[in-house]
Amino acid sequence: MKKKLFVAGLIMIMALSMFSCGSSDSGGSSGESSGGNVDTFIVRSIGDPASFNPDGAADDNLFPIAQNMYRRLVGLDTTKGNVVAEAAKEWSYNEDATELTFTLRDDLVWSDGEPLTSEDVKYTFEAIAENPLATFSANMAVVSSIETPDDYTVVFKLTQPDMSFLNLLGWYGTFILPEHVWNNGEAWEDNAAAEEPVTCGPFKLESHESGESVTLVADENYPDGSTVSKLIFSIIPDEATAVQALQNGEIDFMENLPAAYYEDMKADENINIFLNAYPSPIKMVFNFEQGDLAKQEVRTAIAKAIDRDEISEKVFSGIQEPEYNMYPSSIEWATNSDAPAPDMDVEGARALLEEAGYTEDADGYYIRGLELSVFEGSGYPDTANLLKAQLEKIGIEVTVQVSEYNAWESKVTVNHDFDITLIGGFMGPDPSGMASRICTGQASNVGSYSNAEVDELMAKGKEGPTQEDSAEYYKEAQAIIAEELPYVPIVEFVGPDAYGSQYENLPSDGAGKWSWADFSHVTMK
Amino acid sequence: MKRFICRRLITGILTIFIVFVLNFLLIQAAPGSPVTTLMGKENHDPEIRAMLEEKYGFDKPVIVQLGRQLEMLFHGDLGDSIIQNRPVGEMIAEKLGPTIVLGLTSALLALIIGTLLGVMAARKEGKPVDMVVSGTQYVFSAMPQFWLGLMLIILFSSNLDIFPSYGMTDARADHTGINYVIDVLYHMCLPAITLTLTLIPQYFKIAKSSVLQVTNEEFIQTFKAAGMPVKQIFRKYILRNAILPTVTIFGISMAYLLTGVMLIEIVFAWPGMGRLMMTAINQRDYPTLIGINLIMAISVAVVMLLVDIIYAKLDPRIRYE
Repeated sequence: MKKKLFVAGLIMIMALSMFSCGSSDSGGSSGESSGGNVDTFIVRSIGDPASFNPDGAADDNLFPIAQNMYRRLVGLDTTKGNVVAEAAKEWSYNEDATELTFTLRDDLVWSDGEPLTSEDVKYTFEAIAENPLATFSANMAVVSSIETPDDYTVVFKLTQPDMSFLNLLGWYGTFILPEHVWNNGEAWEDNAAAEEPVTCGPFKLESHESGESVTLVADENYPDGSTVSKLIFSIIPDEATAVQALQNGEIDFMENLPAAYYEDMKADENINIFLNAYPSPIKMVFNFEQGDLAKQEVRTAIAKAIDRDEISEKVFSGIQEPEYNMYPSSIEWATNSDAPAPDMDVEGARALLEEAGYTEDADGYYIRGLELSVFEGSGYPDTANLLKAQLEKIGIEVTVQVSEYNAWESKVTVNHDFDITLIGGFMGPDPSGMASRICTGQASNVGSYSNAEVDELMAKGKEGPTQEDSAEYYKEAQAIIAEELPYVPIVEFVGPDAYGSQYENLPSDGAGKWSWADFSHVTMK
Repeated sequence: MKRFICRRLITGILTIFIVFVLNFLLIQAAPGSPVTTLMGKENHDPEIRAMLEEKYGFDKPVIVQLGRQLEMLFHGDLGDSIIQNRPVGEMIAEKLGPTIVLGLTSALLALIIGTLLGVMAARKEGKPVDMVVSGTQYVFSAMPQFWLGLMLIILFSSNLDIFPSYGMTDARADHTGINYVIDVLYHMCLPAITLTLTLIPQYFKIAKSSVLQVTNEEFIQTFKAAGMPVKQIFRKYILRNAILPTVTIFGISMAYLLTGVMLIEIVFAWPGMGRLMMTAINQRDYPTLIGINLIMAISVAVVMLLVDIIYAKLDPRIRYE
């Protein structure tokens, strides 16, 4: 009986392994190609997009997919600092930066065959302005009107000079939507047009299997074509599984490879890694409503306690390097390297605390019971625990409180119920992206920092009218916040892209040419 | 009998109602809100928050929200997911299939293998076979599902290249018809093996202990003393009596399996109810969560009712308690 079972089991395993060989012959592994072009390219995705409206609320699951389905006027390339052409072929500001004119390509066609014209652009941005939930809505406050002198020219008239507007158009929630489909009288967020999206990018939607995948196919209407015939975003929630699937060639690309797998994957000759840097450093943010932290000496002392090298090495395997500049150093024209956060200096930090009138208690602490609130994942809890140990050396006792993301949001950003927290988040493409985090009364200024001079400099920086002018104001603002320290930068953010080494022309290879999640150029080596 | 079933039915409905209300209150009491998810990352505008809270009625007192929820339920409506903007019923129906296929297969396999092993171990109690099998069961029952799953992926997918490491179908191949079915079964092997291995111990323990218990009953000793063949005693008296608790356990575990096996579904990227629930928890998608909990409450209540009826049929004393 037992023998029979054993034999039956063996037969089953053999049958299945034969099937597995059979399927990889016919189904095709990633090696399948025709003259450099790629038949199927599979990208790992974490979860389902909430909808296919690319201009609604920020949706990180949709964002990379949308960049392949839709076109913006301009996009940001892999540096996240350069603007590249998408639906517009040319653009220019007028002399005082109050008018931004785009000339559209005249060969773009919607997936239903209608041409893409300036009316679509006008409709899209007017709808965004009217819908406060749209990610880009707040940025539309600076637009007084949108004019369309002809089918392929769009003019944004601004209420005040604003050099940052162009860069912002290349980031989130600015995809052009087809007016003839979307302008149907239905509310924006419930619009049926999002269910069967009509698109203008290199790919169109074939299917969305909830919890499994989003499948896009090359759209023959797209004038530049695509080297990839089918682009699949395969949903794999667990990162360890995704890493195995990538090594087995079941998927071709995953972003944000966790630091723990970095060395292994680097050693694997079938895998290439690109260190994809974002201007989104991890920052320690202080709550100015907390008594001790409202004192500048305390904030400076804490800043001097931070050992960035230790954090970079131990938590991020050295991938995410220490960041000292107040504005991400990766955006070179705007960052101020002359006014960084203070260097590490344990003795100096203790002296500062003494100066501020603190005395050591019996256990050697100057300040006790500060709470460091962080959310789970992305190395934040580990970073927090190292910070706790580092702060102990200067006599500040902190307790680390880890919550799940949604709970952290409600505690920190809604209720401002925290002492110190760690926040990442995009600060590009232009320093105006930093304004919402430090200017008085702004919604993302969770620490309630306020300095009228900084507010004014940030406003002037936006106006330009040249990049050199902007840089000057922004750098001056950075000098002030490096002194007052509403936040302290810790490490830069780098999400390694890992992909099959047989591919080239990935999104990361398109600096100055295509946007940072555009997979329509991928080819086989 | 009729009165007995009626009484049980009313208890069941009441239980479901209480579970529903408790779930609703617990979910509301947890920090965070679906509005945070809706607003997207990096959007902290209090005005938009207030607007959305008003739109979904979160600005109203909890008791009013509960009333609205109950009213919808009486009309048989689970409502729409706040995040996905789709009917919750539809979302759950979509995920039930993959979950039942995986859950039922594994539960049946575990039931058969676990019970056989348990009976065998009981008959050879104290002998080497029993020690080896029981020892192995302890190991598997202590093993975390997600870890075992990952180890099996590394062994069978990465090293031996026998099974795929994730998903329900091969994304590169567009299978239809019978090939699709084979593809799904093929992809199900690893998750089903993982789940079966971790489910076997509970059936093993129940089977072993109840066989041992019945074996030591006085009437069995009497049969033995009377010289009845051991095989006959075992088939006719021991096994029949010992198998009842296994059936109960199977029923109850089936009811829970309906709502998915979260860790396995996450590790193997299996698109089932467990992941739907996990996502709903992370996004605080209240209607979806309430819907899933309701389905779980109903399935447990129905199974309990069935078990009660079967027991009452088998043992008339229960009816007149």
